[in-house]
Amino acid sequence: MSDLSTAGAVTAVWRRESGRVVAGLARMTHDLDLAEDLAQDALVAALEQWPREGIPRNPGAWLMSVAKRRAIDGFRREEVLRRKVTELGHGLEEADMADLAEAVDHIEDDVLRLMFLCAHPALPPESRTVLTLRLVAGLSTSEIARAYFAKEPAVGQRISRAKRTLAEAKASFDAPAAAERAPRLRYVLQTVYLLFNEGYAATGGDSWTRPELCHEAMRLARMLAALAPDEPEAQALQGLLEIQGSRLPARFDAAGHPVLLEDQDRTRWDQLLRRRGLAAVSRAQALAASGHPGGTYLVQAMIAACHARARRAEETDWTEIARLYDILAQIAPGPVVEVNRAVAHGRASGPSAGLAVLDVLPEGTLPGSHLIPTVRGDLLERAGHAAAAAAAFAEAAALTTNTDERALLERRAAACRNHPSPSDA
Amino acid sequence: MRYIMFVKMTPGHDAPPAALMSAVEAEIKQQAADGILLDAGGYGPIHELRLAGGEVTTTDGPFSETKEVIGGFSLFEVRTRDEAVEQARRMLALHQEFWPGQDVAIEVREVAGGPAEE
Repeated sequence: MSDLSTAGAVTAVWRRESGRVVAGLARMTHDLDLAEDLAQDALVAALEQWPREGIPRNPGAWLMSVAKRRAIDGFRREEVLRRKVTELGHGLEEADMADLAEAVDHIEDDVLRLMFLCAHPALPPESRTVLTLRLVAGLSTSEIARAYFAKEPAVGQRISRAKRTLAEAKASFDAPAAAERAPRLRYVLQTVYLLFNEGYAATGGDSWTRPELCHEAMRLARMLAALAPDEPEAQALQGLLEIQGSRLPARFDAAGHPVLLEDQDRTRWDQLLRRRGLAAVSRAQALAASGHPGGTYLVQAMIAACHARARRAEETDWTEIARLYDILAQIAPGPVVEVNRAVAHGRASGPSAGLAVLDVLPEGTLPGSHLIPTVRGDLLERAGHAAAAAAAFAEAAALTTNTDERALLERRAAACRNHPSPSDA
Repeated sequence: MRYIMFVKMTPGHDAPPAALMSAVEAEIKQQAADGILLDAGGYGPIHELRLAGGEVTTTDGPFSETKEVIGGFSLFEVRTRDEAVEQARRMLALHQEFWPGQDVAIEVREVAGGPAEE
């Protein structure tokens, strides 16, 4: 099999196994740097041996046993690290080599523990995503740099800094205990969510989206949902991301301009992702109904599911969406939620219901953002107040930094001015 | 990138061994847990519609003259072709181990026009 002789084949194995290998080594060494070095050594050994000897029957166990052997050799050689052997002797004895099959039982826990560690609150959010991509998803530094349109050394430095921060913070390698688990799981979920958003609404680089990051985030969300099958929020995040991912093909028109959800050609939505996403949301709802507490991702996923179920924009269940935004406003209050709540109520019960939500927002909410005047303009236009709508759209146009968006808002302002409604007369 | 994988084999008299079935099931479960498997399924009886020389014929299978039948499919979302091929290699290795003597072919095809190409 000529395929086996290529580095690509070894890398492909690596992609499926490295998260488990690094996670297992991290448990044994309590040292992320060392765990990654040992795993890399095993990868180098695989690149040397597999093309000659073929890929072993259980490549994950092979990589793990090579890494463990190196760990033991390394500890024996380096006097400085001898202390560690006594401290952390557990799991580093030769006798353990035979116990790989037994150790397999813990491997999935190891990966979840690694996810907790990579999304540790001591790290800045962007380091959490990069570290997760590197250690859990098994991407190389250059692959991460390509996905982010970043320079490789910068990504490498970020990873080293993150590992140093974790060491200095004496971040625990154990899974967070009962009371700590829920808040720590939120960090893990948020890390995957941030990664998806970074791909969905790219903030830098030449492209509008970076689908690669979206796909990595979906993959991680599926892993997380499988590792935490009883957590509604983990199932919900998978559902939310797959539903949003299903819209990727419809988010831009032929000229490359972004298309709003309501205007998207829904026949271009990826039906497989849509269906998978809806199924995951159902699982999350069933878990929540059986007493496992859901949270913001469940509510957001249920909102996304409402949109996903509507074959045409006009069929959207806005009453249900408005109800869900009311819940979201209670559990995760914030100005952006309020703006979305205004849109939902405006669609569900008429523009005045939406304007009522905006009217109670304090003066100076979302300063410098075009979001509120844009939504206000839309609601006023629907309510038949063309002159006021024109003023709101003009205000929004002055605030946006995006050229396409400004042009669109200016067009809407002009249209309102040219077609004054009777109420303005 | 999306890839579809077909497992094909010559129809025989023996049913696949239970050990193979459970090994394949475990592998499919792990693929899903690793976040790379989007869909999978087995195939039942065949109904073929054929247009030849302007004539449409329909036939219910299985076809005795067919050399290979498709046992099932898997749909993967992975970064590279190598990753897709690796999943096929694993599936083939399971057949080699748990169903010795049985010839198996695994076909991997890139699914064009998927959302990854946007």
